[in-house]
Amino acid sequence: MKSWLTKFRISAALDAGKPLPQSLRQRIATDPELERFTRRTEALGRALRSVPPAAPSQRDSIMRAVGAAARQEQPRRALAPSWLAASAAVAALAVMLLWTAFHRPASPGPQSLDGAVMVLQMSEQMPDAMPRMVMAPLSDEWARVDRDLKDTTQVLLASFP
Amino acid sequence: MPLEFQSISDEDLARQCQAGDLAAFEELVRRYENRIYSFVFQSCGHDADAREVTQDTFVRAFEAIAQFDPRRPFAAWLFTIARRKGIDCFRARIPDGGQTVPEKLDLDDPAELLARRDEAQALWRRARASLPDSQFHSLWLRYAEDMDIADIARVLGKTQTHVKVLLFRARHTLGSELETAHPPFVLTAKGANL
Repeated sequence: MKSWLTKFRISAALDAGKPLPQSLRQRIATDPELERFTRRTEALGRALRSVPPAAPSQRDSIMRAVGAAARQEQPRRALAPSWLAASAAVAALAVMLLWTAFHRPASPGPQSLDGAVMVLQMSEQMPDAMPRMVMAPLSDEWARVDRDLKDTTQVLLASFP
Repeated sequence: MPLEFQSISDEDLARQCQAGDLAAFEELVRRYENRIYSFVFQSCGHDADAREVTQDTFVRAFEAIAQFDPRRPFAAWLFTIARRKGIDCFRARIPDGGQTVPEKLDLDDPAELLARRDEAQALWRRARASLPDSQFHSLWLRYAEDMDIADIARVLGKTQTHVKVLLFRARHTLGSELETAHPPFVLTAKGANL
């Protein structure tokens, strides 16, 4: 196991193309098996660097195929901007619609004003609508409620620009 | 090599391709066609298949050139495409033997070239026959392409440590094979002798 690891370290160091570290060189010098392994690895590397010659050139046929691919690509590229613009416009429209649907600004003005007016009318009509006999014991209370309602109305009305 | 491209790096040529320069792409084809062909041919052993994969590789590279990052090495990117394109071809490979590389027509010294070709071809054929795909590819990219470990890892989609292990195992297997071969391979300072 130890020898295997050392061989792997030698192999990796040779692949890195740098000189072997001093510690490894010392071990190789004292271990015939490691020395043989290093020599064999280096020799094999040299042998493998000789590459069989390649075949005759096929550049013309490659460039013909590339040219055909380029011709096919051109109409697609030409169409691309118009498609992009159309898609972008549709997407923007969809986003706008969705945004307005989900983020419709609350229209507090008219609704709240209606409410305020209603409260005001109620407060004014209430004493007339109730029989005086029934109202008498509660007149102070009604007066307070009436005042509160009026104050609330004033506050609501004042809160609108 | 056309003079205008002589001092331009692969990555700069790729940048020119991205700007729509077809001549720059042709220069890349000129630089790499033999290398890609050899890589594929040594892996699958069929001339016609290797030619087809080589062509498909360049067409794909042209189509995808916009996605190439010129800060990265072009060779690793192109070999990654070649490897992917050749996967079917590699699977259908003939385990041993196979065709020989078609001879180049412009031989300066036919006898010497023939001897060298036979020697190198025999060694690589033996490697092809005895090693799994990943080990063979890492060996080819390391020695035939002189790629560093980081680029090999990129091409094969593996970690650098994994590539180191692949190379270690590949050399171990091939070294043992050569020692027991008949006739034996002799690993010399110059290379391998049959």
